[in-house]
Amino acid sequence: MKKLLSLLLAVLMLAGLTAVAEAPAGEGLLIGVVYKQSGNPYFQASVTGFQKAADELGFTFLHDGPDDGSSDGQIRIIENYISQGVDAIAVSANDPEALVSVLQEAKAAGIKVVSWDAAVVAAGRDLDVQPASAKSIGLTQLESIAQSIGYEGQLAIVSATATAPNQNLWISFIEEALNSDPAYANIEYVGTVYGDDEYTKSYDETLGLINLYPDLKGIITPTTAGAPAVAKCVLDEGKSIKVTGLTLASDMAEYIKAGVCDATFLWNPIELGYAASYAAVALVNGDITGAEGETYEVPKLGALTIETSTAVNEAGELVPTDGTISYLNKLNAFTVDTVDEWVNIL
Amino acid sequence: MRTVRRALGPILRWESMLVVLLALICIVFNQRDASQQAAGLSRRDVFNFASIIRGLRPYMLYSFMTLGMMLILAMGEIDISTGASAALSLATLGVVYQGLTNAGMPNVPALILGLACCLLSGGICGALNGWLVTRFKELYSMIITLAMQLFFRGIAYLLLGGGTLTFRNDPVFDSLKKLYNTVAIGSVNVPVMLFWFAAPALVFTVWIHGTVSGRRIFALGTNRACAYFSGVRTDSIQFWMFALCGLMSAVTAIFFTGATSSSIRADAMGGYELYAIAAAVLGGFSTSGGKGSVPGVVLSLVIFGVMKIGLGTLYGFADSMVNLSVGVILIANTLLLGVGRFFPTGWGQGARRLRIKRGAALHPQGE
Repeated sequence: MKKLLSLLLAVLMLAGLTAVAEAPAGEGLLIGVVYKQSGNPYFQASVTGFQKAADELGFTFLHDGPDDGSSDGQIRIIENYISQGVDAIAVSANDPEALVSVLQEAKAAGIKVVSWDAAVVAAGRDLDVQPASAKSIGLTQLESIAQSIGYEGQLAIVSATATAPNQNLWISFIEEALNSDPAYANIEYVGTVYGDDEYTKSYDETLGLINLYPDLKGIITPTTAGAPAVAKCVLDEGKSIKVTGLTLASDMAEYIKAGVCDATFLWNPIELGYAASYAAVALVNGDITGAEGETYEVPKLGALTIETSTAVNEAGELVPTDGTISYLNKLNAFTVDTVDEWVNIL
Repeated sequence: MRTVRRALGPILRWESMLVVLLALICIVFNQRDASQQAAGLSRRDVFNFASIIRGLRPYMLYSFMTLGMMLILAMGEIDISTGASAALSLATLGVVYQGLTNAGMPNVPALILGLACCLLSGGICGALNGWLVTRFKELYSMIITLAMQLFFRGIAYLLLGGGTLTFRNDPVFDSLKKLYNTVAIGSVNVPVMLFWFAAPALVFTVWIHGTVSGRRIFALGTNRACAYFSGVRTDSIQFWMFALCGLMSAVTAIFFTGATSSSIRADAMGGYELYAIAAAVLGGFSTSGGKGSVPGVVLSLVIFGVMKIGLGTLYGFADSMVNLSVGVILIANTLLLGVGRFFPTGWGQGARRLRIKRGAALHPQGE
């Protein structure tokens, strides 16, 4: 009897213990993270976010990106993840279409797919996680440069590659606002050139712009890789051109302090990776399915709502797609006052 | 020593060394896999026969290009424009298909015509290389094909205007993705590409090792002047080999479309020529020409695939680190082939002749 009682007590205690120390939501999960290219500081920062979430949720993750930034390099990495039996794949795609087949195979194998930063088309994903809506990203930069140049003068854009889906969407909103918003009526938009996210090419394209338009007043450069080259070129030429864009703080501190940029912007890639992790874990655990109207909780960012994603059609209008998306809706401004606190983070 | 060497002759082939290398790699990886699992570090057996066969798929994309490249290397030439001519063929496929369907042609014949134009454009790219190489003999094929690489890639950008053409929502065009599927044979998912690759690999084996016209390629690479004065039409062979190499690049492009969900970009297949050269050289084709065998190339393609799968999944090497280790293998291999000069790398007649020649050199009076 005594023995039985002690056994019963022991079982009860054990049950009590497990109830108290509840396992974190991501315990035992394996997530494969794919980014566009290895060696890019932006993606190194986002990996920090995945790490932070992994510490909190208890999952483990693998991360890799092709060294040449190619789609077939990403396909190789994803195929390796599938054979390793990951629970979820979080991917920032080099091409929105190219990864669809392999990601559909992943989904067929029961793997949840979250795209973050650069989306895969709806057929290849369960959910897309983005920092801020394309409209707000585009217009924030436009408003900033307009303030810098006093709402008049020539304006140009130095973008990444001609096919980069993010940049093209932001630019479409900037162009739309320039055409329709009376506040920008005195700004003359001279066009977009492509620096292909390479330092030298971005520098050369900027130099070309400066030579072609001697009265150029402002440049928007919505790409972290191209921005330092653009600002350096403006500084080297000694022109009074203002530059804004999406940039890392560490790359641009010098130019912000030199007065070339009044403010540059970026979401927080750490938070982006962090939120993508929470989305992936919620999908794997079945808390969400990636359908419109669902919400998932991310510490410090609150409840993120899943909505229908949008895309630009051939007529240049924003139309809903069959995929879903959730926005963090947070954009940081780096100014001469705030840039120093971000230098070591971004 | 000589008798030992003669006795071991048939075994001391380069291909045997590759088999040993492959076996060693597999043993090491298998150990790692077992220890990873025992330590609870990996959740499944990632290195077994089924996963290797399935995992070879993305590395088979450049296998067709490698077959073309080895012909060029056998002649002692090099073609570094194959990646770009493949991209140009890919762009041709997309533009022709889009043009024809927009003009009202039904999808199926449009696709067939598009594929024909794709192959044709690859062939033309190669032929252009071949013409330049035979016409301007004072220039190295390296320089000519470097220029053509930039030229072809440029045309591809011109055709596509820097954008992506996508036909994923076109069921006819998207049926190309079946080329990249796998079929279940027993418990193994075998990439369909393996069967597609087997056909040209077999044909090439018989042709370059078993027929007179094939062995002339090696003759040309061993000693061009000697071959010429023996009645081998060196220029004509060179021209057609370059054309054939271009054609194989176009074949690569078709499979690449299948892999990348029917999306067509001008920057596709960048660096594939280097993978192809690496695989052909590890397979026994030296850049100075005259040697090598198709079985060696097939083995080296498998070795590269297994290396990349294993280093990626078992050791967690990043993509860039995997390439680094492949580079190391390549240098080690070149040193072995170059310094050692110990392993005959030919196949059939060629190899036997090579051994006799070496014997003759060691003993000028003959054996």
